[in-house]
Amino acid sequence: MRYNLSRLFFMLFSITLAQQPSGDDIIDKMVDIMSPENSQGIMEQIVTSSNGQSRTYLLEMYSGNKNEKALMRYLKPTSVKGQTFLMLNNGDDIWTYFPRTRRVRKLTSNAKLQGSDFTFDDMSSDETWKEDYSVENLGLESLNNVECWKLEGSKTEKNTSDYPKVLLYVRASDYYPIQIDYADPKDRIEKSLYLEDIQIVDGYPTAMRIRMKNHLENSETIMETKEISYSWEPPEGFFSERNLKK
Amino acid sequence: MIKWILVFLPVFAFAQVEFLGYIETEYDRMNFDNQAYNFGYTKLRLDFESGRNDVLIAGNINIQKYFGKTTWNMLDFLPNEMWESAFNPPGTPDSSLISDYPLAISDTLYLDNLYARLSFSKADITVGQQPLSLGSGYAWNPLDIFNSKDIMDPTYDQPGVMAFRIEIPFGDRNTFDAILAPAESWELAKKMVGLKSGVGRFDISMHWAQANRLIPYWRIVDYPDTNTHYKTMDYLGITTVGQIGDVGLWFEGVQTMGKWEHNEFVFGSDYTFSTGTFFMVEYLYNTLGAEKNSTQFVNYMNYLMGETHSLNQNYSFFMIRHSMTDFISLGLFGIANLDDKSIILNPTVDWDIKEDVLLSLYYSQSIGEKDTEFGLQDSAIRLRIRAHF
Repeated sequence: MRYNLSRLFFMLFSITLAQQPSGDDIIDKMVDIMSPENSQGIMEQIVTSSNGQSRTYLLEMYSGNKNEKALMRYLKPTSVKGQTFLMLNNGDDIWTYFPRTRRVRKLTSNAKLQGSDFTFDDMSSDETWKEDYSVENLGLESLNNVECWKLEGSKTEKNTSDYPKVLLYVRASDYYPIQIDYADPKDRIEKSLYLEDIQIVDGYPTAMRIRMKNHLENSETIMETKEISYSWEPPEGFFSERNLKK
Repeated sequence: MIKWILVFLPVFAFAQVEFLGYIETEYDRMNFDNQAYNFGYTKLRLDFESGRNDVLIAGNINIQKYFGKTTWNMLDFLPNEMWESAFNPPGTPDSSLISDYPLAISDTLYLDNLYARLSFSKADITVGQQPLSLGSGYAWNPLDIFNSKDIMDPTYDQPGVMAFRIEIPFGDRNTFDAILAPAESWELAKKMVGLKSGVGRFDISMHWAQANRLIPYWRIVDYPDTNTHYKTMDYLGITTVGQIGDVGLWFEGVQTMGKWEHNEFVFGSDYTFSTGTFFMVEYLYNTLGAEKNSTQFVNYMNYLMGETHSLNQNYSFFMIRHSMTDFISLGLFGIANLDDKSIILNPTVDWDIKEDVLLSLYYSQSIGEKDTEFGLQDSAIRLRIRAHF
């Protein structure tokens, strides 16, 4: 009898394992739900330093071809007004435009965004998750009373990111992520991305507030969505160097 | 200039005009030849812009008021042996000896830029006094025949250039670019035509340019003197910028065509570490500068007048910057004259003290022999506050 119970437990455990989606399956679903064809929005970026001082920036943001292309333009404050960034090829190619000199320059993709905890790599497409990390599903875990798939991503050889390991918490109900932890080479969680106030916009779950917390520097950057639409259609040539200057 | 204001004034009267700009105050203290000089300025830059998308009219007015020392003796900035023989050749009577070449700096009020940009379905045309910023280099831009950069402050606003410019984008990452900066004759007008394209993770552009430029005096066999000579010259240029892995790389070079051979190029690289520390290095080679151990008075004059991008031929620029907090960054940049082995080191602090208010503090320390480009100076300190509105 004891043998049979053990065997039954093992079988149930195996069935559970078999039903558990793989890390890649979850990433596919996560990328799918986070990648509307196009988007247009206005976001407020609040940067808070370790001593509590903060600065607020206002940006208009556009994305196309499921986040493969993006354009961001600062609207406020006046010191950076008009400075624009164009990201193509899932953030591999980045250009910036300085309105005072009307100069366009190509940037390296690991540059930091205007005094914030976000790099351009952070802002680029989710499509490359599977290329950048080999992802393992560590099982279900409750985070802030939300049942989540906990995934561990290990950097692939192709990935030049500074974070060898990432931990993702993806809602089991709709595969939308609510937290991503970035571990440094010493396996310390250097920064965490929190996706909060998730609302359904044009049929897509959307985090109205995205918070990047740098645990080592104790600084924080918040991106609050002021306006967002997924029904916007980019005009021809919108994601181009020419449009940077407009 | 008044004519341009009258042309654009009706447009401003009927269109919604947006005003922005900044107020900047700078205090400088320079230690030089055992003396300290205090000087600086307060500047208002008022930008205005009207229109959106198809027609844009924009410009800016600058008002700059100087304080402290405003009259300089240019000869103080040259090694004595450079100018003594040119100004006081052997046999000059004592009563005629020259030791001053004064330069007075006056308060200014001027229309810096005033231009209209017209966007058509296939092209953008910009007409008027406009910002032109060309090339991929940071400290030097060999390709930029329209501006001369202050190497101690390479990203500072450049004065506007009166020009006609047409940009025609085609394909995914290609642009045809033509610029004409008119002058009193077609020969003296500066012209540039460029074709930019994208190849992998690099932007590459090729240019042809024509400008009435300085000829290195040592190339003039008919006039083996040390005077300055000019000739309309054709240039071929190439720029590229991109990255390999996470390392940014760029190259910008020009080569003259024909008899008056001159070439100049910049090679640079940058990298941002995971800590946020940014590092950049550039190397300049410029045959319009003086060769090693043969710097003469005319080289200094050409350089100070902006006729050449460097006094000598081989230079290096480096910069390292680290954000201590989100609002305070520390930096160090240096410029080395590799020919006369002098260097100037500049530790910097940039502090975003309030929203739209930036405070910058620079210290400069020169290293080198007294008869070298940077060794001639001692040290300097600069405090600059800029408030945007």
